[in-house]
Amino acid sequence: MSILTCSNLTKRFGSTTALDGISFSIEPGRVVGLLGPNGSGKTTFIKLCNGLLTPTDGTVKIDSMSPGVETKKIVSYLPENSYFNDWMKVQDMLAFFSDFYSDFDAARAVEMLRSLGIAPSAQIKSLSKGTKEKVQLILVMARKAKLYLLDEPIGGVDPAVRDYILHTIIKNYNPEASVIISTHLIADVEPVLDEVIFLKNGQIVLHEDVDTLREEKNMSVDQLFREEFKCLEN
Amino acid sequence: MLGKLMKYEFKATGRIFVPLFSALLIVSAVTRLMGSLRSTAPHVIGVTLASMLIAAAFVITLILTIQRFYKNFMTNEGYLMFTLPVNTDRLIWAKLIVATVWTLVCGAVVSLSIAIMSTSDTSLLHIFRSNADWSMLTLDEGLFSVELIAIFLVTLLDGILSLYACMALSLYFNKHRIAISFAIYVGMIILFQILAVIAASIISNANISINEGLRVFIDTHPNGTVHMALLLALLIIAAVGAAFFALTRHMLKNKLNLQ
Repeated sequence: MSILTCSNLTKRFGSTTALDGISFSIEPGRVVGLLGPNGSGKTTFIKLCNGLLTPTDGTVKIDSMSPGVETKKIVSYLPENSYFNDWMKVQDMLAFFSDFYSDFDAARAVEMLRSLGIAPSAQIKSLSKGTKEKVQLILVMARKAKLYLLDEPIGGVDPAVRDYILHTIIKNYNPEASVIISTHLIADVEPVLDEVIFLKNGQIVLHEDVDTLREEKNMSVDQLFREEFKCLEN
Repeated sequence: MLGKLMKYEFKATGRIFVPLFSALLIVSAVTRLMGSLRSTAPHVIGVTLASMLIAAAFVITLILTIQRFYKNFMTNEGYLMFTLPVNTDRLIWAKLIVATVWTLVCGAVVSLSIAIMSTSDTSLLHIFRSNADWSMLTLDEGLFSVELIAIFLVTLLDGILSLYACMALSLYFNKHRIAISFAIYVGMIILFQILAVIAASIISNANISINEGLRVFIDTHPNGTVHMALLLALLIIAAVGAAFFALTRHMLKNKLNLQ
């Protein structure tokens, strides 16, 4: 059974259509790249899955349920923005996650903090932007969720940490769980992807298995993306 | 889950309120001591400082009530709060209960501070002491007290919920939400004033014919009539609060659009 299904999912903001009737489903155990240029609807899609926006039309179902309290228990979400209360310490956030998510593995989070050299007693206010992103990603990946929705997880960190994070993503999650990674840094995420979805102006232009793509088109996802979204030169 | 939400709400607000209220009580005690020692200059400074702290206590209570809702729900922190496995009602209740508790604590601390500093016989403490024999209250007086306290509490909830509703309504707009919330609040106050004037003029101009049975009831049960009037008032105030709550919930559930 699919972990995520959307049918004719549409979101309009006034006269702007951010998502234009997209339909697809994701099976358990897949790592999916949600790829597209800025403004293609990636973040809107992820917000709809989290119940942070209400669809204008169509539906999105997670484990056959509409977004709500029950889906939030099984979805681990990394937003683009930092959502910390600045006055908290890193360990306060661990306690917060332990309190609210029964699938949060605090010991694993502590272990990941240690390997990235972040002190649990550090005040969040004192952390750099990149370190805040790392802490947020650790909190999200230390949950044993069924579906991970990662919005630009590697945007603000250096390449070494980027590798660690991608390694964490493929290594630490439960093999039955699915991961959706939205990004435009395709070359970096390509090695971990099972399938890709290309979004363009709120529509799906491609949804394919990565191996099939490579065989059929004889191109890497990165090359294909550059081809698909080529900007016209004068 | 409500308990956990409230725990974090108390943590987030307590780190400001606890030092503030402690400072006020300490300054009041020191001021009282200086007064007893007939040390004029320190006493005057103490009274000035305490007065400033009292003003600050009220202003900060109001600002934190607004800021906790706005920042936690309508800015980036909303990404965390609205993806917790908790329903929207509980999120609002946690904020509402904690804000109400702090407002009551603020009132109590300010009263206590004034009582500590007052040296004359008319001090608040004296008033409480002289009326301390609560067992003398009749049943009716007891009921009136309960009704008035209930009206006071529900009015306080209304006040806080009206702030929440105005902020939530600003979700219809993508920019300048703080200014828009304020404008909505002012507009709402004006609207309520107009409604009150209209209602008052309708009632005073209407030829209300009270039927004989009701007149007899009022004459023979004057206390009962007041009880009923108070309960009616309580119901109306509670209905207004429920409307603010429903509006806030609707906006947060369906119109949320975090930037």
